[in-house]
Amino acid sequence: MARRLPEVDVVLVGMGWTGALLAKELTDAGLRVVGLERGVPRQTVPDFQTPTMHDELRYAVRHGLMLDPATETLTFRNFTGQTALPIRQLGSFLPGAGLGGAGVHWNGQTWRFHASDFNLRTHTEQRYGRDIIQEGLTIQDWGLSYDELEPYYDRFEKICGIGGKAGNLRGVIQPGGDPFEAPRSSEYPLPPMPMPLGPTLFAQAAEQVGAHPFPLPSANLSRPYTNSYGCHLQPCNACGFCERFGCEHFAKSSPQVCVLPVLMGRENFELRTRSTVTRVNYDSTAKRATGVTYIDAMGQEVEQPAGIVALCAFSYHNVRLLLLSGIGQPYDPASGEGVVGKNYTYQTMAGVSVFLDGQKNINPYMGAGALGMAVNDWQGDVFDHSGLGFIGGAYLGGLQTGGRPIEYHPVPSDTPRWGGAWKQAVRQHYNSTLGISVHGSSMPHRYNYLDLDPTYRDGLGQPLLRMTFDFPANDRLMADYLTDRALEIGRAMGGRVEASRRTGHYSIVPYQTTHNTGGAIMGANPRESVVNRYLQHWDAHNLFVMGACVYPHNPGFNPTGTVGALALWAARAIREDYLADPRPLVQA
Amino acid sequence: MRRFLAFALALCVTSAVAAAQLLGVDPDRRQVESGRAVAAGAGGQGQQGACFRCHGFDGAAEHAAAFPALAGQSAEYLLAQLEAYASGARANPIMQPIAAAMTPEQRRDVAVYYAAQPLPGGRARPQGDAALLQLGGVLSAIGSAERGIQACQNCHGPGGIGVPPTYPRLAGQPEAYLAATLRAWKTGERPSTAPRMTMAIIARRLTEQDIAAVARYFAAVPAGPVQRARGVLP
Repeated sequence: MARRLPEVDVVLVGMGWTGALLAKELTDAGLRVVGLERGVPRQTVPDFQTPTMHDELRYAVRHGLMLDPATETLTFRNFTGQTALPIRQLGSFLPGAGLGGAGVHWNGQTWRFHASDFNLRTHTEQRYGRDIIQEGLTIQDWGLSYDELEPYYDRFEKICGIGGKAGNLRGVIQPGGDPFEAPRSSEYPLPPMPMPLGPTLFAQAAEQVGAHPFPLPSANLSRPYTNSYGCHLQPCNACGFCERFGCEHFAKSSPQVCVLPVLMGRENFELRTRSTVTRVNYDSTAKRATGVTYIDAMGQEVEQPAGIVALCAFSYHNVRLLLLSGIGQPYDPASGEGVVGKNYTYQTMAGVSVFLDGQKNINPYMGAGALGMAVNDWQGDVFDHSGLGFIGGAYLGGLQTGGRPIEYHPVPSDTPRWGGAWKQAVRQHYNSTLGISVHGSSMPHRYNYLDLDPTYRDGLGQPLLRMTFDFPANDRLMADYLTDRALEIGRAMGGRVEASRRTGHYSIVPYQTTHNTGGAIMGANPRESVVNRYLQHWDAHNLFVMGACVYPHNPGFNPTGTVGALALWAARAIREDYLADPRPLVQA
Repeated sequence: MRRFLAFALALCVTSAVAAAQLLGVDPDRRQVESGRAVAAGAGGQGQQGACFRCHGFDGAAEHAAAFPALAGQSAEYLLAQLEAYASGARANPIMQPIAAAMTPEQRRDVAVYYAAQPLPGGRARPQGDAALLQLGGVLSAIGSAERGIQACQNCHGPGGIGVPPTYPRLAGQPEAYLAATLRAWKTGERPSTAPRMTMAIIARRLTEQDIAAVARYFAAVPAGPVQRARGVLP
C-alpha cells in the first residue's frame, strides 16, 4: 500500500529544463511545488569538474550521463509487421538521466521554428495544394502561432544567454544574421563566439553558392552574463566537451546554471531525487489528475496528491506515463483513431565530409557544442517545393563541436578500418577535415507511433514503450535534395567530398540525434491531439504535458529552443489564466 | 557579412599559424641566441633592464622575492605578458619600462629563450598550515559551489602544469607572486582579457583566505617533471 503524503499545489515529473522552468515560474506565483526526479542530484561543482569530466570513454562512449537501459528501455521495430525487441544498449538517441536532464549534456544549439511550422497543414495546402502531401503523412497545425510564442522564445533566450546575430528584427532584415528566420522582437542577448577556421571556410563556400551563412544560435556563452533570473554564467573556453558532458565552466546554459541557483532553497519548493514516477493518478469521472505515484529512493511506493500535475520527463517518457496511466485514447494506426502515441517523429540527419588533405589546419579539438555557421536557404518552406515532391527542409551547418581522441577520426570511406593504413589516414585527415551536417525535418506518418509493448516489461513489471518508426519517403527525398546542396558547398570549399546519405531503413544502432518528438501532440481539438495550445491535457484540465512530445511534426531545427519557449508559454497560462479559475483553457 | 568573415578568417589564420609552429617544433636557435642576449642586457635599458638580474638565465622561480618562474611557460604566454607590460595594459613599475624599451623582435626572442629553458626539478614541498593547503587543493581541483567558481585545473591543467600556449603554468610559482596576481585581478589592477574577463570574475569571488590557500597550494606543487613547452614565434 502506497504511503500517501499531504497534497501539494503542483507536482512536476522530471527536473530537466521544463521542470526547472515551471518550478521557478510557479513558485514565483506562490504555489507549493514538488519536483520529482528519478536520477541523482548533480551540480557544476563538484560533479562536472575536469579532468574527471573530460573522460571521453566514460561519458561519450559509455554514456555516463545517460539513462541506463538496464533501468528502463524501450522496444523498437521499423514497421507494424515486425516484432519489436528491447534496446539493450543506447544508440540512435541518448536520453539523459539525473537532475537537469538532457539540459546537462546537450550541445546548446538553440533555434526558433519558422512561422510556417506552426500552421504546417494550412500553409502547405494554401501554397502548393493538397497533392504535395504524400499519402500517409499526418501533418497538422499546432493550434498556436509563431507570433504568440515569440515573446516566450525571447524570454528563454534571455534565460540562457544565447549568443547569435539577429537576421530579422521586427521584419527588418539584418546583415550577418539569418535572413530567413521569423521576425524577432529583439537581438540575441549575447554576440556569437569567435568563429574558428572550419566554420569560416564553410561560410565562405556557402556564400559562393549563393546561400546566406550566419552564426548558429548558441547556448555556449560568448561573454560573462547575468540572466533574467539573476543567475551568473561565465564564458565558454571552447574546450570541446559539450555533447555528452556537463560543463565545468558555468558556460553552457543548463537548469543547473540558469534556473536552479534561484530555485533551490525556496521554502515553497522541494526537490526529491531518485523518485521514479510510475503513474499519474486519474479520476476519469471528474476528468482530473489527482496526483502521482512514485517509487522513492528507499524503494517504497509513495502517493503524492497534487492540485496540478505537469509531465516534464524526456519526450517519449511522458508519452509512456500517459499510456501507463490510461489517460487519453491510445493511437491505433490501423484505424487512425486515438491520439496518445500518434505522430512520433525524429530528425532526418545526413552529412557531407570535406577532406582538405592537409591544406588547412582547422584544429578540431578547439570546439563547442553550438560553435559554427549555418545556412537556412533550404529550411522549412523557405524555398519553393513545387515539383520537388516533398515538404520540409533542413539547415546545413559547418560546426566544430570538438575533435576528441577516441571517437573523432574522420577518414575517407575507402580507408582500411584498422592497421598502418588507417593510422596514416587519421594522421593525414584529423586536422584538415570538415563536416557539413544536414539537420532535416521529420514529418509524421500514419504508421510511425508509440504504444505499450505487449511482451516486454521493466523491472517494476510495467510494459515498456514500443517505438515503431521508419523514415517516410517524403523525408528521404528531402534529405537527398539537401545533401546535394551540402555537396555543392563542400565542393566550393575545394576539397574531396563524400556524402553520407539517408539510405535504407531507420536503424536504432548508430547515433543520429536525441531529438525524439511527438507522441503527445498539441492541436486545435481533442480528436487529433493530446493537449491544447496551452499544453493542457484535453481529458484532464489540471494535467499539463511539457517537452518535444507535443510537437505535431519535427521541423529541421534542434528542438530545445521551442521546448523552453512552450514551457514558459504554458507557465504563463497556468499562472495568469488557470489558477484563478481552474478549467479547460480551450473549449473542446 | 563579408566583413565579418574576413575578420574571422584573419583571426583564425593568425592563431592557426602560431599553434602549428608551437606544437612539437623545436625553438629557432637564432631566436634563442638573440633572446639570451636580451636576457643578458641587450634590451633598450641595457644592464639595468637585464632579465637575468631577477629571473636568472635559467628562468627559475625566486620564491623569496616573488619573481615568477619563466622556464616552462609557453613562448606565446610570455610574449603576451611582455606586450601587455610594454603597452601599459599590465601595470608593473619594474617590468613596464623594461618591456617598453625592447624592440618587438627582442620581446619575441626573449620569450622564446625563456620558454626553451628546462624546468627545474621537483623541489617545492608543502609547508605551513595543512588546513589552508587542503582548501587550496580543493579550490584547485573542484572549485567552490558556494562561490560559484570552477576548478583552476579546468584550464590550467592537472596540478596546474599549464596548457600551452594559452594557459600558464601555476605549479611551483612563488606563493607571494600567485597571491599578488590574484589580488591584482580582484582589484582590476591587472586587467583580465576582455571580453571574457574570466580571471577577474573568479578573483572577485575569492576571499583573502581563498587567495592565500590557492597560492600556497600551487606554490607547493612540484614544477616537474613534465614535458616542457617548446615554441617558435613568427
